[in-house]
Amino acid sequence: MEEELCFLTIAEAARRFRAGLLSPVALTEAFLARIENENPKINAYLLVTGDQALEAARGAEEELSVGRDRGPMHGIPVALKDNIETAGIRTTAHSRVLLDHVPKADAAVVEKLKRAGAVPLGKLACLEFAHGAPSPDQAFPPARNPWDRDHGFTGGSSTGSGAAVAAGLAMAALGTDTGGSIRNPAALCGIAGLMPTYGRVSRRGVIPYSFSLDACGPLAWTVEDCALVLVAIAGYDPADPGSADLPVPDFTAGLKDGVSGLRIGLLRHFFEEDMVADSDMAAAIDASLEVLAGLGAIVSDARARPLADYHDVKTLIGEAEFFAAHEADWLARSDDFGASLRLRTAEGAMIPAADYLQAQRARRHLAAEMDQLFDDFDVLITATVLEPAPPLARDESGPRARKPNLTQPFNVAGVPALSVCTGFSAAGLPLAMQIAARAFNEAAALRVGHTYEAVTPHRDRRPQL
Amino acid sequence: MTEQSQDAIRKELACLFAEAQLTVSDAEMDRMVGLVAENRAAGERVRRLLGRYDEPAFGFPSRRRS
Repeated sequence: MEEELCFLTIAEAARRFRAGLLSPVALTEAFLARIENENPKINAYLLVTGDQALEAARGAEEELSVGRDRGPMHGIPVALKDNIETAGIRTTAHSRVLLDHVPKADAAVVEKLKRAGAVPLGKLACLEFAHGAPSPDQAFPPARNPWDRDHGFTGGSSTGSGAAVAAGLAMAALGTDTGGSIRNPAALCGIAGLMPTYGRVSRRGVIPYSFSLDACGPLAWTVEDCALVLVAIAGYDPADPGSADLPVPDFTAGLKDGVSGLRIGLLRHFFEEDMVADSDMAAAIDASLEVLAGLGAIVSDARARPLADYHDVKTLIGEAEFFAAHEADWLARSDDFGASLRLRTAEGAMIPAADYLQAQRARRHLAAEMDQLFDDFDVLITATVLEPAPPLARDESGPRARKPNLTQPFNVAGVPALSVCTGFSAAGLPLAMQIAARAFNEAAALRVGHTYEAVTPHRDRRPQL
Repeated sequence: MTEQSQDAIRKELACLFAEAQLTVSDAEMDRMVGLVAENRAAGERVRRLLGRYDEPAFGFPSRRRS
């Protein structure tokens, strides 16, 4: 029974609430019980706020019973990456540096989720400050991949967000994404994850990695559920200087419009020339495009700048801004940083101002080029990651982490990108593709992702813990 | 990158680590010098990207003629 409830989608739970077949309290109790039983196996949660969750669930139940309906997120149990501030609840960003940090106010996205009636269950593991790598000296153990909890890395940096949703420990989670931190864990944990357009979702109260690259967005079991969360958290916030003052559409409205006539550009060179994806991953992309073409999409090859160009720009901007954000703590208490960040933080201090500025100039060119591509294509598709979940023990701060990746181009361009599960490798690990769209056209990526999910069987398979 | 440039990076990093009261092994320092050198190379490549397009640093897109 517990498993049946915890594996519902948001859309289905919302329907059952309104049909009187399920209550927010019963659903929240099922999640809290499952978290208690299963979280020790995967360490997705750093902190479970059970009492507050039950109180919120009771409030939602009461409101729904008298017809005060706040929309589809009302009464839905969600969880938050621990770099998202929560009023009166410890927020650590998975770092010893912030072990005593209890914010006075909620982040904008938490305010919005609460306003939509969602029920926060707790705070989720991540890579330290959304940038480090797992290391034994950290305050909390790393989250483990539910598909291979003995060895598999969850992807990062929203490690707990990916693990919790895949394992049925939250219906949706919020993550943050500076170079792939929502989409990588979504891909390796076999779920959907959307990095919204830069500026679509407020970062007020999100502990920064990189001011000009950070985005906050949803991870959920389905694309439709990502759309439902995005509706709740998107919108202008004058307190975030990067926030865009644009209307927020109903991202669920066009989900069922299909892909007939839609122009899809395949960025094949990203994962065949610039970097080489493993054969399972590449084959799944080809199979997915066949599915979409079979539904009437017009698929052809597209070409962008080489991945290395985006990687250079992202590294120079990201490292410099990371140092700017964390300089004071690093100088005062560098010993409290985990092994992977303790020295690496110094990289940002060693980037000359001129290099940083040239990278920002180059970013503008790359973003303009990407925008032009969307004159010819409604969406661009490529792989999300090169391989299924790698071993957790692999040193993420080593040479591998310095190679270009497939997610950075869309952070650099500031456009939305969605990761969707495309099946499973021979070893039973999730595969994924990435669907990007023009700035502020999240709806196009969501539409393609939802259409694909609706005609493929990948959402029927859950990890066995 | 010349040996001289690498030595300069090493000295600058040593100052920074001293300021942060961090003790760094030779191997760790070598690795950090490598990372900083990689970033300097990225800075050079980014400049080439800009040169290739020969774009001005600032412009009004709305005034661009088609």
